[in-house]
Amino acid sequence: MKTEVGSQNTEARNSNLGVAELVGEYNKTSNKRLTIALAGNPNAGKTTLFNVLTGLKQKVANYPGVTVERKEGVWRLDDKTARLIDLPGLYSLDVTSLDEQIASDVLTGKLTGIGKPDAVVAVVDSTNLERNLYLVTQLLEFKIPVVIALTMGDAAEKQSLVIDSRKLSKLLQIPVIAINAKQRQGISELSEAVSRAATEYNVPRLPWTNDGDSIETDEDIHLSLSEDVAANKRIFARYNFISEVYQESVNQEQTFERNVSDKVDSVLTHKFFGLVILVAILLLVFQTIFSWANLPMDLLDQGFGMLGDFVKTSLPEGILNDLLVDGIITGVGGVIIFLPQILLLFLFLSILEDTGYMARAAFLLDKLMSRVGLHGKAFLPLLSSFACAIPGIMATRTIENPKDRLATILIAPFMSCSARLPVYTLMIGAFFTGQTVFGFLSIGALLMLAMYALGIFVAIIVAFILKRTILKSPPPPFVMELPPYRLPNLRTVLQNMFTRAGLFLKRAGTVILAISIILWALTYFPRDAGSDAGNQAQTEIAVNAGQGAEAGDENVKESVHLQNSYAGQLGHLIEPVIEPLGFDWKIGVALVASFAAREVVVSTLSIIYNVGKDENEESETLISAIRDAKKDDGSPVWSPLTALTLMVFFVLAMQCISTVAVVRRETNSWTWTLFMIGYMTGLAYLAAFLTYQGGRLLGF
Amino acid sequence: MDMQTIIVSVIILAALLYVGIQIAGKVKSFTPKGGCGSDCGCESSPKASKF
Repeated sequence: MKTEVGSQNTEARNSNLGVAELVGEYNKTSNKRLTIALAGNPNAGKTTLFNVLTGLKQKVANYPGVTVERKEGVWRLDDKTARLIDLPGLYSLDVTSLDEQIASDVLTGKLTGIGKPDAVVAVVDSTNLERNLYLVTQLLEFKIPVVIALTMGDAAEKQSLVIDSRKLSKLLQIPVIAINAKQRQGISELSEAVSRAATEYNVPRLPWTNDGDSIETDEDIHLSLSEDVAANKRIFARYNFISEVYQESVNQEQTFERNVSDKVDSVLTHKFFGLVILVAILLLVFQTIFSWANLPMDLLDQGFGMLGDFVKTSLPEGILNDLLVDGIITGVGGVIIFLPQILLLFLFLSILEDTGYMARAAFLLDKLMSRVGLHGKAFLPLLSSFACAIPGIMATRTIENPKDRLATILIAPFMSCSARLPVYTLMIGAFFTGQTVFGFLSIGALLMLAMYALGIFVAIIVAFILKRTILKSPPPPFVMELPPYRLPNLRTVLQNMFTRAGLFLKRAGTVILAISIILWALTYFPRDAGSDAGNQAQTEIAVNAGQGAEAGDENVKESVHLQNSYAGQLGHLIEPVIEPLGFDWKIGVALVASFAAREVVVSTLSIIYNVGKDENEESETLISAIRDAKKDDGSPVWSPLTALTLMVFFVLAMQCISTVAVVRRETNSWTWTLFMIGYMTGLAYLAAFLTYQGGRLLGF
Repeated sequence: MDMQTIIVSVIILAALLYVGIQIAGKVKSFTPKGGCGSDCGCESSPKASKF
């Protein structure tokens, strides 16, 4: 008889299931109070079933010694009562997380106060049968009677899934009861099956164990898992078994949507074409960001320019006028003009995520990450880090293995966060704008993609090294579920986009505003510094620039003043260190200031160039100021190579105090935090040095 | 000291104060939690899991 899960006559169809056929020589006394464990994947309907089975007879406590919640209740079976223990939601019993450890301890009777269960009810989601059966195959190894409660029948029906639960029961050699807990369908059959299985049980013969030789203790599990090869063989054997069971017992009508989805997946997740498509999509996104953001960015730029002019002419000349125009409006405005790009970036990322494409990208990159030894669960934290490393690092909490988690934390800041976007855009806008390859592909978009790719590439190399040296541990298997394709939800997309924009503006209005004011003060004071030195430098600059008396006394005076300011003194102090990278002292000041937040590099350069107005150049925008900036000897400060070097430095440098704070908190270790700052700064310096010096050797 | 200088001084001091508070907040988050490294709700536990 075939049971169609999801049909309304579940009770009737379960009535003749082969519980009786499955009972055998394994007998237990039926007088004692039974202990039943309820196990299942998260979101399989376990809690709903637990509530229905126990009603109000529940109590909630913690498992001994840990804070994992333990729920138990009284389940009234046919002729006896049972103690029902709700195990934590699990995907497997591989003992890699606390939840899995507790479940394993409960099943082996290791936990104080909880005896070994007499039976286990495995709650299995019909719509994800293969994934859910993995836990069942592991439960079968514990020599405890297992009864499957098949849930989500209505959802399975909508997906045209027809599950022959009788055949499923026969193949798994355990009772399978289709239930609908909310409508209390199948509950009495489940009670009967559990009651019988707990007292009369024969051990199923599992193809991957020797004659029913199953796992009894967690030591055995550890022993078997300690040998990678044996563990992998066992995992593959379980999946092979599940695959056979699934094919025999499930019939899915191939709907048109499913056919299309499968065909699209076969291309998007293809190991070669999938990567090509991923690169093409990212290129398209970056190219679109550049072309669409141009107009609003220009408008914002002009708007801040007009605001500056208005304030300059409206207020009397003086220090307050200078602060408002050259410090606040220039500094904050210099960052805010990148808002359209941030909005567009998150618009596209949200659309890609909402359509289900991001999960396909994750699947593609997971193959790559597993090869370097990273856990598959590392993908989502790394993906989050493209927005900001802080939530990304916090998301590593889902990775159970401390070494895997630490490796992910240590590489997360390499992902190009949105704070780097203004830096990349400024450099690209100043030196690479309007250039194309093949007549249509903008160099700006290519460079942007290259910066993102560089971060990913270095992260993978670092992870590869870490996972083979100080953080050595075998990567656990990872099962990824691909969500169905769907049209993006406009509300979700807009909400995500405006949330990110709000955060960006908040940052601009708080941290960046405060730092702009302080930086302005550092470039403005001391006003009467060393007149002799100032005069000497003034003469040198005027002579070197070949501008003599016509150079514009006011501008030269400002330039000399800037050199003698606190910021100038700091910049000159670090200049010898950064000179091999092609950076002058002004860039040095921006690098130091950007440790507070990466975007500050833009506001710092805005303030410095606006205050300095290098020699007699009247630079209207930061981009033109950067292009026109001259060294003391009159040679240009910036070149395309310098811009590229700065971008490479920013991809790899640990220029974010908030990230440092969150790493310290999440690792609970100063050693690892300092290690991360050290190796990232070292790598950034080395890569920038190689870029600049290599570029010069090649004649750039 | 004219009015403009006073206003600018106040603004700079406020900015310094704000950044100082922010840095103090970061320093606070630098200090280790009482509990373990993951968000399992065991802040009161004496054992701190370290990498």
